[in-house]
Amino acid sequence: MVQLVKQNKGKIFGLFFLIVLLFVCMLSSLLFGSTHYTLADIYSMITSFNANDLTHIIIWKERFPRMVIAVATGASLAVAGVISQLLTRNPLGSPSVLGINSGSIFFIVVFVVLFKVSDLNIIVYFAFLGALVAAILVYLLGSLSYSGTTSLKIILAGIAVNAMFVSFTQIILLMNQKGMNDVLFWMAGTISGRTLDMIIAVLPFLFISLISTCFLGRSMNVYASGESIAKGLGQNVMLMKLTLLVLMVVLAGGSLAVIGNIAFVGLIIPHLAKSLVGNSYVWLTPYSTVLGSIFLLAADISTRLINPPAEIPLGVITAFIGAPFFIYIAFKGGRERGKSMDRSIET
Amino acid sequence: MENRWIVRSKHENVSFFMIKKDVYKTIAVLVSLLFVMLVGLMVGSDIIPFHEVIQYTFHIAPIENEFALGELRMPRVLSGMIVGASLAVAGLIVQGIIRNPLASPDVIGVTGGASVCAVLFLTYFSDALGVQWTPIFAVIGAIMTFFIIYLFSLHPSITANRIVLIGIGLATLANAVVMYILVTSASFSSEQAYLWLTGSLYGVNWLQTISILVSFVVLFFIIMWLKRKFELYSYGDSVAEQLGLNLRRFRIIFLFFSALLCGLSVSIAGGIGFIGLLTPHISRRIVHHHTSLLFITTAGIGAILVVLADWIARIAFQPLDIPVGVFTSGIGAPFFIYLLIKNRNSF
Repeated sequence: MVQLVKQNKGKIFGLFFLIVLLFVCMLSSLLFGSTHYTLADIYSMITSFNANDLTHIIIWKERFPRMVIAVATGASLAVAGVISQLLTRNPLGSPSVLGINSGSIFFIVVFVVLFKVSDLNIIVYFAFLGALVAAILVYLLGSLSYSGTTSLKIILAGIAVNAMFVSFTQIILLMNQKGMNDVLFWMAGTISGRTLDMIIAVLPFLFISLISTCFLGRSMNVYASGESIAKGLGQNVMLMKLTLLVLMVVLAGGSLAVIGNIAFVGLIIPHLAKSLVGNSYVWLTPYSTVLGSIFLLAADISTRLINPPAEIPLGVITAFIGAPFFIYIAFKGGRERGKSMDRSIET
Repeated sequence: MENRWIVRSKHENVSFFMIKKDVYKTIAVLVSLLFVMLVGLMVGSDIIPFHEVIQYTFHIAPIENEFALGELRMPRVLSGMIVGASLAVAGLIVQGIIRNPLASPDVIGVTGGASVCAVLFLTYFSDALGVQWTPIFAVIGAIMTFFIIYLFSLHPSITANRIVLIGIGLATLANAVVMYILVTSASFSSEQAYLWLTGSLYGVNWLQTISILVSFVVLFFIIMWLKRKFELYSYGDSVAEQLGLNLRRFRIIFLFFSALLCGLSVSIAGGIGFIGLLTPHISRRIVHHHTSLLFITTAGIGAILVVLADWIARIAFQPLDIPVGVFTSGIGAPFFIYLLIKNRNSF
């Protein structure tokens, strides 16, 4: 992986630049849509909020929540991708490919449709549970053999688990078509029509996990150098794995509970960040955080602008960008630091 | 020599033997297919007695359930049979050529490619040309997808497993494209989009049934005529080449056939999943020695699976009529996992 920026000074400057870009995207997310607004509208909304002014209502009730949700979940999904790619030691190992997304969705759908849970504060925990179950399943399937876990096998296991959860979800939905409308958005994935209370329910989880992942950068570097080396350097590898797993489950599950099944953010962004700042997780995590937010904001804005006044589902946009990327990585075979995808992971 | 029949022509220019057991098993499969089809014709929202089905089929006497049987069930059961058979044979061919047990037209995105072209045609050109041209476009889509995969496979470092991965990426992309077309076009509802992606046998008419039946029979005979080449190929590249098989030409011809089979079934039923993956594994367990019997058994079992799944989908959740693809993937995904476990030491 060739990195673009090599000096630390440059990396700090780059991060600063990306944060500025993020603010620009946040502003555009408020301004652009089926109707465009101006900065003056936002200014007047902040200084003199008028509950009867339609412009103010749309910006505050419709676009502001979308912006907040896109920023929070984009960052979380991207960082979840960083972690899962580190855990599987595979460039394709993003939560959506591993079936962690669909595991979450399956559990959410089961409890919403069959047990009539509607409080998002409770749904979040089911999302975590689903993500955890899927992750454990994939790990078990991927490690069942004499040759140990190869990263390719983990990916195939993920794809199988993903297919299984997707079809189970479909069956449950078809048996209860009345519940279909309550859960359809989780299946398709969308940011529109979500309210602020939804993100507030999961924001603490996401925030704490993001911050802790940013602080784990150095330990992640040690872990990335291979398990035996990490052991030799005195790292508690088992604890590290568990920590990373929990962080990933919380980040992926928490975002999915809010926006539903959005794939490929966790696949693209870590690669993008790596091409900018190289392989050190000290830099990768903050960069992925900001890049993920920018990506999801941009994708969300484009859903409104491509075919106005109708909206394209967000999942379609991310798949359009993500699937070719997936093919490209699969084609390259994910050679990273001389490791090929077909070689086994030491455990 | 008790367990086989030896067949010789007069001057021994044609001579072969058949294992009795395999012949009996194949006949058993075909008999079960007949039985399943009969059940599918007799049992539905109401029961049509056996003698009426026979009377209608052979035009012995007019019956009272003429419409339900002739216009609704008969085309559905027959087209289900052909769709299942084509997908299964296509799967057998693809698995044989890629030499990978996890490959099948729907897993590697060929079904998706066919869906993309079919939906494109239905949305933009069907008014000008007429709906009956859909199969042609579906076939073109399938061929194009195969061509893309073939181009990827020419690269020297690409292993069979990696082709499957690339195909999975293509399948995801195709799904996103289909979603996009269906969401942006006015003529489709999201309901119909969902049906296309899952695969169903709703509203199949006699014209479609007859056309797909005729094409399948023709294709099947051509494939049976070329089965010797398929046998040679299964001995491995170097042996096949020494025995005079032109590998490249063989691959292209056979992939072309499986693209035709796929395109036909997609144009009728959309993307029914996992039949092409599952069936060859079952039939290879039943028939061991005979390529021709293997093809017949595969077609038979594929037909049984689809007709049965469609029958369950019709019966189990009345008055709802569930798309058959939901069931096939509900059975198929766990089976995929089982395959992974079974082949765990070969990755």
